[in-house]
Amino acid sequence: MAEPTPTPASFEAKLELARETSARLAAAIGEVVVGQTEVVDQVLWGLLAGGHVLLEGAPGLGKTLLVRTLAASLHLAFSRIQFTPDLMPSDVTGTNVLVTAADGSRHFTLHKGPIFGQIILADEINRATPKTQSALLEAMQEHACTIAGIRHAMEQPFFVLATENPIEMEGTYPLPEAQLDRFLLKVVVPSPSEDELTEIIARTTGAPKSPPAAVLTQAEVLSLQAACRAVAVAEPVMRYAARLVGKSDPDAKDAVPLVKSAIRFGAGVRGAQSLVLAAKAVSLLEGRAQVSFADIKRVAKPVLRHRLIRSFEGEADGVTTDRVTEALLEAVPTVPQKVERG
Amino acid sequence: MRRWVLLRTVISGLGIGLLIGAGCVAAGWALRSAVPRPLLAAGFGLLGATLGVLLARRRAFSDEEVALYLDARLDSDEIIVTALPLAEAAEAGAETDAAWVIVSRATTLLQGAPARSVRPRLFTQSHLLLPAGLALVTALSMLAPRPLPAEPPAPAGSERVSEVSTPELDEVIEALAKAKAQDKAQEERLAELRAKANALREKLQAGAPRREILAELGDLADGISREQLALGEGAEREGFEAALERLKQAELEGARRALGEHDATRLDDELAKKANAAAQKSRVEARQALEAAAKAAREGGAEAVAKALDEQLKRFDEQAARADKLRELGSALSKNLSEEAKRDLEEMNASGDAEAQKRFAEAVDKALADLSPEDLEKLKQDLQQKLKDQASKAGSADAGQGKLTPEQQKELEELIKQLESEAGRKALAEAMQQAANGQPPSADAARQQELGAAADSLSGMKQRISGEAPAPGAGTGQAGRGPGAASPKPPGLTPAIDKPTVVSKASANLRPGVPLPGSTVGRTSSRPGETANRSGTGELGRVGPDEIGGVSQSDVPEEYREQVGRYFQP
Repeated sequence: MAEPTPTPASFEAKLELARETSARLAAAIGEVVVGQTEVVDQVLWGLLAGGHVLLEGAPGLGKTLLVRTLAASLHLAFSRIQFTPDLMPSDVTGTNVLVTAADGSRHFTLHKGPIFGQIILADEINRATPKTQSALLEAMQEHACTIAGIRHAMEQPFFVLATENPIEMEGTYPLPEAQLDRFLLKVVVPSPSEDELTEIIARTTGAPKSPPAAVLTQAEVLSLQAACRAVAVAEPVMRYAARLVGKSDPDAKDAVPLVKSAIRFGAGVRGAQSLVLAAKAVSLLEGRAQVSFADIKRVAKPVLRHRLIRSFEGEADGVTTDRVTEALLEAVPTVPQKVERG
Repeated sequence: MRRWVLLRTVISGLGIGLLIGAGCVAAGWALRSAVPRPLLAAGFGLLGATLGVLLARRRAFSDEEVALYLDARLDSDEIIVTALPLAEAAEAGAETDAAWVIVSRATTLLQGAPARSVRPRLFTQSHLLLPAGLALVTALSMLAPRPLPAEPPAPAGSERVSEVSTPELDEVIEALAKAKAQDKAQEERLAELRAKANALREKLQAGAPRREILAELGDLADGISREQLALGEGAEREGFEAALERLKQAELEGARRALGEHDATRLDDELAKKANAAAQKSRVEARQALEAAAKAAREGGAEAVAKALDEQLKRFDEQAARADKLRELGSALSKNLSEEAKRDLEEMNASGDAEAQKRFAEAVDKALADLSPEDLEKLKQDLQQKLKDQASKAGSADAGQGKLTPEQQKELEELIKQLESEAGRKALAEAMQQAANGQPPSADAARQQELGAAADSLSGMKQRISGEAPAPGAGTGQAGRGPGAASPKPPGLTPAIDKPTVVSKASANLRPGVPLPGSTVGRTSSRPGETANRSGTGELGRVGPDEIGGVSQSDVPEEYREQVGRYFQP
């Protein structure tokens, strides 16, 4: 799809479109999914930033419903892969099958797997073996898949939403840190409040509703992704992101005490990149062309949540990565002290 | 914005400078500095302001920091700081669509923001230092200069003393000139003391600090005391001790003590007693002891002591001859003498008392003067008969009984001869008067007396200069001293106290700056041999006269006494 020629007017229009679309998407999803507005926002950040999102939550919180609703709202090809321990990589990627032609000749034809979609729901990703997980993760990183030595590019946009169940950990294969790093955001799906739960009961125990109408076309999504990349970031903001990530390293000279005691490995380069990228998505959805310190702060938790590797002491003390992120946000100033004083 | 920050820092610097200036002004006031106080404070204020400028320039906001500050003030989601490099890029022709949007939005934002709302705050809490500093400086500048401290009192004895007339020093100089030295070394020392006394007199006439004068007077008095007592010290010590030992063996304890204490006058008296005594044996033994002591002193290297003892030996012989002559005359004139004179003769014979001799000599002189020519002739004949009897006794067996010595015989012959002529009788009368007046002192005794008198007069002069005694001739003749008027009543006539017991309370009238009576002023530490009331010799190996025999007279047990004595032997 050809990129629209960037003109000041079209960029203003994109900003307006992003703001309007986010509102429409939220409204469309809101018709199906009760509450979870922050989760919806974070999923949209991932979509616009071109990253992938790992959803973590207990069963029955609407993770799958959210992804299905999102896919229905966006005129994009949707695939769902239910990860199980006996799932094979070829079940994900697809395989070449021997086909007999009408003339009697026989040849191999690629039978594409569910990975060849645009919005992929990798349900309970930690239930499959690492070998199968790696088949998905390669596609996530490379936006391409190699089958029988032939590399097949994914159709854009390619957006993976994986879900994880934090309970029932028996017989699961937790994702290695290197693979977790491939997800732009890790979104925690909270339990619904009483009001939300009441609404859920009301909606789901009545007559089934038709899925929401599509809000965005593929071209519009790609255009928004391009606009997201075009959002400007000032150097002080980038430095702030870099300082946050740098301070998350327990071996850093002036590391935060909680980081020193509870963290084994800090967020790496991908962490800093993800902070800025996700912040760009936030600013775009709010109709701004520049990233602010507040944007960085807003995305810090979902971006760093799965990138900070806790130490034994941290785990033993029950220190969550969100708490460490809060400590980092408190410890790292956005602007020099003299600017703060004025 | 930068100008406002600069101004704010300058005001802070000015306030801090003024406060420091106020501190310096306070210090200047406390130290009575002559520097004008407001100027000092103003200087520090200017310095603070200058430092404020330098600091503000050093910490000046960069463009990016200004943009960040404006973003924070306008709550503009960092659009200005983002627009800043984009605008520069746009000027360079590298504008993007997003940049255009951002720059235009930022421009609109800045244009819409009132300057007053984004301007940094000019005054901060630290600026309260400025009025505080100004108030302090003003208050301190209005303070009256601190009064100068009172002059410290002059050190004791630093006041100048000047005396045109110094009779005591004149006396001392004269005594030093007259004093006969034992030897060449003492002569030189006496000359040196005289020169010192002369210099001191000139200094006193010109005027000098009291302390200095008193110190030099003390020094001079010590020197004179040393010379007064110098005998058998230092290298002569061994000979001196040997001579003392000889005298002790001859039971001349009194003479030994007198010599040991360097008291030449008492030595004269002690030996005169021995010479006056009638007991021939005792006199002979005393003479031999004196000879032996002189010899021992000479052998021990104490030439001055030997010389003094030789002189004493000569005086001993003269005194013995004079006493014999007196006794002969007394015996011949026994009928003409009163009972009192006879008792004096007996006393003289028994103890050799000089006073008894003196009284007897006066009685004999008077009896001689009262003799008629017949009595005189009779006296002469009696004496000649006695001489003849003595000659006849020389050949007899009981030659020991009443036998005269050759010297006595010679004295008797001379006496008869003197009685024969008018001139001889006159000479005899003079000899009697001389005996009545007593023997002139020996050279050592004469020197001691002269120098002792000089030392006493110096002591009086010291007291006078230190303010303890009135200047000679300066008083009005009234009794007492001190600031109060003299009492018209003579001392000892206080009213009777009507109390069962008398409780006295000594109330010293201390005068600041004046040494207490009897204290030493301007002196160094004591010297070897020095005691509270006696000057030391100042040299190791030389001891004060009171120290001689100190070990033998001490409480040291008998069995250790010799050992301890050897330890302290010089």
